[in-house]
Amino acid sequence: MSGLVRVELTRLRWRRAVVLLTLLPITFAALLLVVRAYETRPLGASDIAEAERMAEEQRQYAAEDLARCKEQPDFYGIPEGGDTDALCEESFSYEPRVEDFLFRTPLSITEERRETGLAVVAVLAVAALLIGTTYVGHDWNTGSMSNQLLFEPRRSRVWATKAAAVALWSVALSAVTLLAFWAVLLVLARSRDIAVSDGVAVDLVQQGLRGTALVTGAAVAGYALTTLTRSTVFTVAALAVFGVAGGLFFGLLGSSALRWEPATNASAVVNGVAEYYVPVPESCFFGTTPPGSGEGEQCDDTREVRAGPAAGYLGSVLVVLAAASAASYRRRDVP
Amino acid sequence: MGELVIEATGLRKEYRGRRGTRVAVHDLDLAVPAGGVHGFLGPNGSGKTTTIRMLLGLARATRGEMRLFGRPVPQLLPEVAPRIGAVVESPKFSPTFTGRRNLLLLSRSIGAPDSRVDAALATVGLTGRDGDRYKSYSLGMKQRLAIAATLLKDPQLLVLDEPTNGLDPAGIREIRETIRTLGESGVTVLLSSHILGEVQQVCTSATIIGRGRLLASGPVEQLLDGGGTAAYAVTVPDPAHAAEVLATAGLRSTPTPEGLRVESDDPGRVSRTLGEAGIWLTGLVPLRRDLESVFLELTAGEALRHETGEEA
Repeated sequence: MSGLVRVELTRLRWRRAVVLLTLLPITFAALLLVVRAYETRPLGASDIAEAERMAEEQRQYAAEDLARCKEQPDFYGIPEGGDTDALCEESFSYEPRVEDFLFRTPLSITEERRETGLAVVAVLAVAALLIGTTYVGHDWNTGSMSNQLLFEPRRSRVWATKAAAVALWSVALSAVTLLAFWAVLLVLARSRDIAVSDGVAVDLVQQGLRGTALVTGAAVAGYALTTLTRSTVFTVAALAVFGVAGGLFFGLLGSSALRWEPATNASAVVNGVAEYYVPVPESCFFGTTPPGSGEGEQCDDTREVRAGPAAGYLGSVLVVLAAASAASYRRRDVP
Repeated sequence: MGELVIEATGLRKEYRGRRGTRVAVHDLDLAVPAGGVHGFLGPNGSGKTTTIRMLLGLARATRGEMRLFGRPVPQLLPEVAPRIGAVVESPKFSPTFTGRRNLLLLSRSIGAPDSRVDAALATVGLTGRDGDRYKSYSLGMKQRLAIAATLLKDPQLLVLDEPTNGLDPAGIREIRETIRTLGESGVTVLLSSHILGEVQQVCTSATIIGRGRLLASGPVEQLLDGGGTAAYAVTVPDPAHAAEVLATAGLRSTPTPEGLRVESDDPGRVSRTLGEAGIWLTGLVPLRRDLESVFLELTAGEALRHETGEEA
């Protein structure tokens, strides 16, 4: 079987669409690195000069506003009759400072893990899903599946081999991309003298493993679904419709159904926990509900999904899909 | 009959759809002896490809038993598959891969050395074009590549479904010679083709089916000799008058450049009928039936039975 897996990996490697889809998340991760490195860059002399210029500009605006206020206090909502000058000075007491214009969030690996890390895994998962889809969809569209079965008629073995190839490819893609992404960010943090605790490093490894599992699952799901439908177009269209209308669908099923939304669960798998929002009674918005009362708990519009249950749910969906796909592949006539 | 390479009994394939059940293959019996080239003939939609697809495990039989090399299939198909090369319907390869890459993937899937790809490409005359993408190939080149793929296994049974489709006359002759050589070398070839002249030239035996039913099967010589009405080429001074006389006597004739083609099992009756009318024969030669006429007689008969609702 390992020989067949090697053949399928070669088939994957030779497919141009697969190569392009492989480059997509790598390019995305590289661009994200550049953007994040730039956005979190340390403040330099030019930044300070720019901040001083902006602070001075704001001071001038404030002085002009104060002068206008003293001339036309009613225009600024200052009631006439009193000490309008004092009231204007009180209104425009704000003194712009250079520090106000020097704010920039420094690089934080913890924050990056929660946000950009999730984004990279999400793009990896979409790319892997499309790789699984286009890879086997091509076999169906060209009819070459029947040719392959003339050489290896054990259909279960062929199904498993192709699934294994897609899974291995995705594991490699995800592992390499995430490893490179975090390696570059950690080097960047070190170069900026930002300390990274051991705990954060462990979190990164765990997120990488969970993310890779999710990416691999997405690839196998794409493969299994297309093997079931035998059409790349059908699968992609179904996924697009689900992507657009999926949230609405779960919303219509009721607030408790939002817990089953795949994107929320995928996010929980990657980050360890994810929040989703549920509708709350209207009374919550008018302050009629005393805090701490039973009804107050109903006013909490956030719920949590943790990684374990989320992985169990997504894993179950994948197992059912894979079983249906393999059974269909085994039984149905091949065109 | 010696050892059978292909054996099917009561083979049936039904397709269920919204409009009801359509039977593509009706309880077909098929026996292909080892060695030689066996023609598998039938009009379009007669169930040839469906039968081949069931034998090769691409389609599931609704009913019936099949054996290849004496082994029941599809249960033991993996056991015999390495001995079978097949082209089913049109060639099916990845269009963006080169011809060579397509063959390499198939070759490696059975653990064959890459050198076998070179040999197969050389056999079908594609050596110079193996680096081109499959989608740039002409139909004839695609057929050649498909035949090359069948040779990767060094097969003992070759199943070829319309292998000369799209080939030019020279290509057809080359493939015909390849098939003949393979048949003579001990490989059993099941050749499904519409080109009956081609089948008659290379086949040692044949099976004819119509509307999914077996119509005739056996050695080609036997098919040509047996069944149907014999015919004679008749040369007379006045063919038109002779045709009228024969028609009056209930004998069917058709004009030919040399005279008449008269359908009858009794040459004496032909000469007597014409002689009694004062028409003296200058020639009476038995016409040897060809596979095309046998095929047309059998398939026309089957079509008639179908139209009148008579079961075969």
